[in-house]
Amino acid sequence: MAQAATNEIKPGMKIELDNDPYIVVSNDFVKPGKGQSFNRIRLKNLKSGRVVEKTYKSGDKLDLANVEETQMRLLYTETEDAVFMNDETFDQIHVPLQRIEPVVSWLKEDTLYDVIFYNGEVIDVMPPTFMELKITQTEPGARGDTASGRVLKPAILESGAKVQVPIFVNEEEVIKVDTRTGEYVSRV
Amino acid sequence: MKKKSLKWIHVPVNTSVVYNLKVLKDRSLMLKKVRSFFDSKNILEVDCKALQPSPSIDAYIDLIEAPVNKTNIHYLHSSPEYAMKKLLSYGFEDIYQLGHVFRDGEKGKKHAFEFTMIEWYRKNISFDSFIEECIALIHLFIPNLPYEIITYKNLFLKHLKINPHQISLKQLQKICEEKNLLFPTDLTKDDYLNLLLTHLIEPSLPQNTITIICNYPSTQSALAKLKKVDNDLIAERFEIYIGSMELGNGYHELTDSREQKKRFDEQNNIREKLHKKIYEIDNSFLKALDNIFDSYFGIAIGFDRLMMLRHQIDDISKISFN
Repeated sequence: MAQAATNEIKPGMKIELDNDPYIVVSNDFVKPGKGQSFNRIRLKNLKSGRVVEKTYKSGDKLDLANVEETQMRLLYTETEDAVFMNDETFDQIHVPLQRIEPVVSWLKEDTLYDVIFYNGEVIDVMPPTFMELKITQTEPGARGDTASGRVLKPAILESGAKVQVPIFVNEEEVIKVDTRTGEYVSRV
Repeated sequence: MKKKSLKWIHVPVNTSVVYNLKVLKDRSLMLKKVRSFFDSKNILEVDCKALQPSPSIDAYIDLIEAPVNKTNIHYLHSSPEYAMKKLLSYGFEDIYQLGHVFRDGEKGKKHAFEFTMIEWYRKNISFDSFIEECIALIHLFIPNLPYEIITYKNLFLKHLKINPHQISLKQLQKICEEKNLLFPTDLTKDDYLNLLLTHLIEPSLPQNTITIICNYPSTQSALAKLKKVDNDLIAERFEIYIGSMELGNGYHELTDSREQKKRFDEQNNIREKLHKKIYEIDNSFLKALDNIFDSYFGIAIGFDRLMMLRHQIDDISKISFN
């Protein structure tokens, strides 16, 4: 298995620990006074999302996880699965919605997603950072609301995501949203 | 089209370039202020060579090697300590050096392979007076910070309710387990104490306060004299912190060459166990110690870290001329 020493570990790298894949969140070099130096490495479990902090002696080696990222297009969703296709190989895969629960409300057909495989199995799906989505449901914004300081209202997007939008946007309009935070960016 | 609300307009402002210039100019100013500080106290500036034929011996400080004449290995100094002590043995009394030092393998937000150190030695001074001098130097960078002195033992008693001089390796392992600390398993007692210090104690040291930790365990004595306090053998070594940032390491300087040789051998033994290069002992340094007859306090303080705190910048690479 490929390995990397503590001084080569950078945020974003994927490592394997106790048979689970982790992504490196941060790597801090600590060296107390005249003592041994250590690396405090924060790791996020790619399966559970849980973050742990582990301390290594500087120079220790960590196992790199066999994690691959592939861009795939969402063909359609079924009751329990989402079906993605690789545009180059035309390979299709069924991913249980339950496994990618945080991203379900950002699924839109014919959109390219980053699909993350660990030892050949899908463990995560990442939506594009910005998506253009139609508002399917929101209350009409009443004039005068800005005066009371109320500038945002809830809206539901075609993918199912619930976001806050400015009062001047209406149903059926397409808006640009930051999928990392669910924040409204602009009208399209 | 409706006018967009201001709330949604992002104006990117890049002030970092302007700010860096300000910080770097201040760096020059502070180098000058440090020199004036020592001048005003009649402490003589020395500039011992950075390139040394003999290595300093620390289990956990790796030197950057510099081949000279293609075959001879010289070393970039990790501190001017040995060379300065040789000067003390020739009859120099109060001296300081402000300059660059080098350490291999040290890279992080608070560490760099090359950094600037303020190191000085004071003859026949009391611990209290020496600490006051250290505080006065820090106040050049951050005025009016209050300070506290606490022993290593009381620090551990206060934060973790353990006596670091008495506790066993097993008990330390148990504490780490209880606190869910995922540490390597093959650690020495001093490694555990160091990790508890960095992981649990340092983050809760009082902010905006200078903390001086003194009376280190004898096993972490480095180049400090030993003494007995309440039946514990301790090292007259102290570390200075501001908040959780470690700034400097000082000693009541060991001048016993036999004891010093013994410690060098111990450090080399640790190096051997860690599969690191064994460093040759510099006999001229040991001889120099035999010719120092007065009591000296000395300390090395990180200039760059003081600058980081002065400008509230959390990355050492951002306050240096690169």
